[in-house]
Amino acid sequence: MEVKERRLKKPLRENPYLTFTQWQFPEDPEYRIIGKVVPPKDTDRITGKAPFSRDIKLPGMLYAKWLTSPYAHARVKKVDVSDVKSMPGVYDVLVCGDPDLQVEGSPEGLGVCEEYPWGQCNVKRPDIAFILPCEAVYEGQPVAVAVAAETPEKVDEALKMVKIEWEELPFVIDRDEALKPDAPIAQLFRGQDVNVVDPVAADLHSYVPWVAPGSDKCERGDVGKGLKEADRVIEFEIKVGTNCWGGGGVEPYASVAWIHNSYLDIWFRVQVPWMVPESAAGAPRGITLPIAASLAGVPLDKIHVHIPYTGAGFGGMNWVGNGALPTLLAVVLSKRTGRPVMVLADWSSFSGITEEEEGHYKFKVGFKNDGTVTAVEIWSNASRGHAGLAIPGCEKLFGITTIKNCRCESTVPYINKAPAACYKHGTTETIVLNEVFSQVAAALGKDPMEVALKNDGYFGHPMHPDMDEVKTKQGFPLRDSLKEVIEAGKKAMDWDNKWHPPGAKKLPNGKYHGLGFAWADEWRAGPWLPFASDNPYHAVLYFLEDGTATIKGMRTLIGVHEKTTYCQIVAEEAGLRYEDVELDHEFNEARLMFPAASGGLTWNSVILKELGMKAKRKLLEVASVHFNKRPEELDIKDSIIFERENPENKVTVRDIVSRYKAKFAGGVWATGETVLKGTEMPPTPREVHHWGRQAAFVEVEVDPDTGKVDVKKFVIVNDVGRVINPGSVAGQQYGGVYMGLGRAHTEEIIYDPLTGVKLNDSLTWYHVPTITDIPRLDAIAVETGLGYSAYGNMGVGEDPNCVARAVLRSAVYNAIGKWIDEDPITPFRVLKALGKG
Amino acid sequence: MRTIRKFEFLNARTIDEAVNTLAAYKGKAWPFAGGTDILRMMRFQPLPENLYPEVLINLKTISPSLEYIKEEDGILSIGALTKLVDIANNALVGERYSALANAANKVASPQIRNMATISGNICQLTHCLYFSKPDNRFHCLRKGGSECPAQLGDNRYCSIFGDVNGCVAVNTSDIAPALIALNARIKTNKRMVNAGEFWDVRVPGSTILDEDEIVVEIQVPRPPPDAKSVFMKFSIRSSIDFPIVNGAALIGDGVARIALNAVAPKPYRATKAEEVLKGKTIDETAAEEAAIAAVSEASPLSFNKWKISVAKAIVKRMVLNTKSR
Repeated sequence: MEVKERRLKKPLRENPYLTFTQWQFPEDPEYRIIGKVVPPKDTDRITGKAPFSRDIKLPGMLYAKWLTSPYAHARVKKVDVSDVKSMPGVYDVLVCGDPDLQVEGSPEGLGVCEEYPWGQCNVKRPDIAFILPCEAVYEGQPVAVAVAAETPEKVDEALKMVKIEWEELPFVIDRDEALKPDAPIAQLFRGQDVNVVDPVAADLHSYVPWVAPGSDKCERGDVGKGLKEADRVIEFEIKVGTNCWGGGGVEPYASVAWIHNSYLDIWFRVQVPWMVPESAAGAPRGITLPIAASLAGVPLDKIHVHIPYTGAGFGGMNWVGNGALPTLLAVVLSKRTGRPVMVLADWSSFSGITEEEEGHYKFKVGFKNDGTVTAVEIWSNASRGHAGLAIPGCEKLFGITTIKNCRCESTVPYINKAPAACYKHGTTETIVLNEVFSQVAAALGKDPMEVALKNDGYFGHPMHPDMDEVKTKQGFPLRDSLKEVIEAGKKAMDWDNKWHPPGAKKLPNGKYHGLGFAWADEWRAGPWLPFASDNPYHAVLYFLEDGTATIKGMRTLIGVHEKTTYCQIVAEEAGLRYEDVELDHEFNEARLMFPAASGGLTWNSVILKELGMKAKRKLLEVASVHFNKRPEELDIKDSIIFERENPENKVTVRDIVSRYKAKFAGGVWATGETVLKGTEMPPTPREVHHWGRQAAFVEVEVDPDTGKVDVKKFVIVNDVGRVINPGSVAGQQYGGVYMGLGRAHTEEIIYDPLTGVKLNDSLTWYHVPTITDIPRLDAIAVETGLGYSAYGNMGVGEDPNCVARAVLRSAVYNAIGKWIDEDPITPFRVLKALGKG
Repeated sequence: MRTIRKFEFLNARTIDEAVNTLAAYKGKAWPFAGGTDILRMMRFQPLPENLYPEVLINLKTISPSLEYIKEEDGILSIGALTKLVDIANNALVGERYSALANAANKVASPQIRNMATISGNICQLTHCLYFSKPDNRFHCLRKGGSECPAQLGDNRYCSIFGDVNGCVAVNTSDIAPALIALNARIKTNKRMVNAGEFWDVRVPGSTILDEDEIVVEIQVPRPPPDAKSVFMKFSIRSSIDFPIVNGAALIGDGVARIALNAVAPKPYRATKAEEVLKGKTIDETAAEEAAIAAVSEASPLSFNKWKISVAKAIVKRMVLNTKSR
């Protein structure tokens, strides 16, 4: 079968750091608009016109900020705000313990939890954040006091006048140390006498069904037996994800709340703005609005949500309340002052209420001499930033390999760092997956791609013939995604000519040359199924008299061409011109599908396809009166309705809409309940199949004297099933790779070991790569049609970052012949591995 | 982003007016050149309350202007207010004083180089992680405190050549090693100082300048025609960063001057490396010997042994680079 590949080929302009490229591929006769390069509809973000929450100005608006803890662990013994309250321009002062801050179930301070019923807090959940508590459990935590005043400057002045008596408490920031018997208790409010997170309370089973209820491990087969079957067994340890910032974008949080006339208006930076009621399908939960309604004392449907542009969209913004906390504080202060209040999360030069997932991992791997892995055992103490990835290895090692015998176990401590959350899902899972196969390939002296292909599978089943049978039954093409992405990437990297044994190639410039390969699956958005009959998602299409149409449905614009891609799909299906369709993303009465980020277009292409199809049906039904024909005898193309048998008998959509205005009142509604091809459940533990693969290839030069790793070339290959918009795919490939590379080898929060205080929480010393630090990227999209959504498409947003993190490890090993047992792979660690640090 | 600290801003019309005002405020007024360092400090506020200036004296309004580059009688004179971008792009500086041009070109980012001045760069406060933490979180020796938290803390970027008065923070000026290697002199309103004697470790300052003293000019003697000067910088990112280690060298027949910075509380003159090179032809062996000699007196702290390897590499590469003169 010919591999159909879409890739970036033709540079639009040369730049030493970036290649801006245009997609070149043959016209697809099946679609007019989908998969095509079209003028983007969301240019406001790059022209600077896009408003963000921080840009909102309302009459009489107050500004508010909070104090942050100077200590890694401390309690507030006494607060004196008498000088603050009398300051001119100060309108309100909130102190921890105030009844207005209490949410049912939270021990103290304003907490936001995902548990039901709304607002109740399960304090045993390690990813729960609180603001304004009396016990600070990490340095920089919003704590003790918040002030509202007429200007940001007055707020800062007022906060300086707060007098606090602290009781410093023992702290622990190292995950291994926290698990030792004599470790200090890191978070007293949890009410435990050890630091270990209770797996029953964490309730991992509800996120990963193959984890037994109340358990902190997942098992398949018999690991002991698998190790005995192995020709060789290796053991190794790594620490990954250590100390990466989890801010999720450089836009500092700002939220505005205004309670007026029994309504609550909110402007905020958030990824999932709306509340979704609990459903049989275990629908995802937007956490902010129900608690906001409760705090404001207004019914949920009297909240007006405004979601200006956001700097980025990451899951971590939702479930630990990262986006919610400033908003809820704004609600409390608006209620108390009667004014609109903007809360500015300005506790640092970048917002850091959460951190990236991190952990210490111990591996035991058995394998045959041909590269077949027979058993894997992993223990880790990784943070549970996202409960779905609570036990590293349970997701990808279980889900996308043929390995029959696996056991992944984790013991998670509470520590004195901000709660971890995911900011590109599956990063640590991808590292764990690749560490197994990279180390096996290295031990055998084999090409890592050979080992990957040998073990690629699906929940212990091989791709061939087991999954071929499923694909055939469900009408999918018999394509092999991993094989195809590897072929495309190898060719682009010129792998066969560049590959060499570890540590074997020193360049004339004195540096070591290295090549790396990593792979993973396409990460589908959550274990929940949004196609259930009781799902709460809607989209509406309103036709205007000028013949244009507006899609209405709420979702956050996080910068992945939402307006463009949504309009492409609806225009395609409805027969409209692309330029005649717009998106109104702030429509409170309809909520587009969750999530906004991971697989956002994948899921939403289902509801948008349905919307386009229904809109076309509606137009044809109305037009049938005009033509005096049955709807089936008519068609629409480029916003012109015509008779199929006699295309010259035609009328514009504008004429039909303006003439029969009443027929279009109320719009056309789609509910997302249409089950389309590819959404049937396969016979696996997952709700949708998982056949898409991705691969990353990197070429590096490592300076043995300075330890610096220069990334010279990067090839990213993603099987996206089908490209809806080439620019959106490429943008996410570029963004993900660059984010991953930064976290792989330049970015690291430095903690003072004696106080637990962050030393570099600013962009001066926290090294996010600049445009001069990133390599040229060859971004390739493969279209196998194996995706589970409406067009055989699947997501790309999460994946490039995950493999970029993983791939650098094997490339540096290939360069210097030594594994670096901890990332980020900064010069400090490279030189340490070489005995120079 | 927190709001910036309040201050009064006065435009000085003459050098005398500037220094007289500085004297009148007895340490509560600071000179203001490009402002890129001082405004950052006024926003993040790492100092204790008693050390902040109440007044910033704008030197850019001084007449005649202190912004010029000229060469007369074998001396390059650069006005104190000359912007780094102009030094980096000056053909004369690039041709005859290339270490200085390259150093100016490696400071921070284009936007900062468009604002920052040569005098501001050499007078910058230390950027030690402990010193820079906002809200005086670490009341260290450079703020009038009684201990250096970096000595026992995470000192991965700190001095590898010991402390000065107990402080192990490093000086992060990119211009400083170039001036020392080029044997420059720094002219103030009070005196003329050799570059090698200009820096100090004070509370909180990093130079020998008095409260009522400002830099007015940098003077650099033209290097011998056969000599070549180079500047190199190692940082985590290739742009915008402060140096982890940087250095400059001037090497020719009968001359070998090598300086490193970001390796000690004050810029470090690698005299042992200079001695090694005396009378030698520059080759791989000589460069390696010089590099070893340059770090022979290093005594790393608990987290920063790696910087010795980096410093050694910088010296060796600088020396070899001068071979192509």
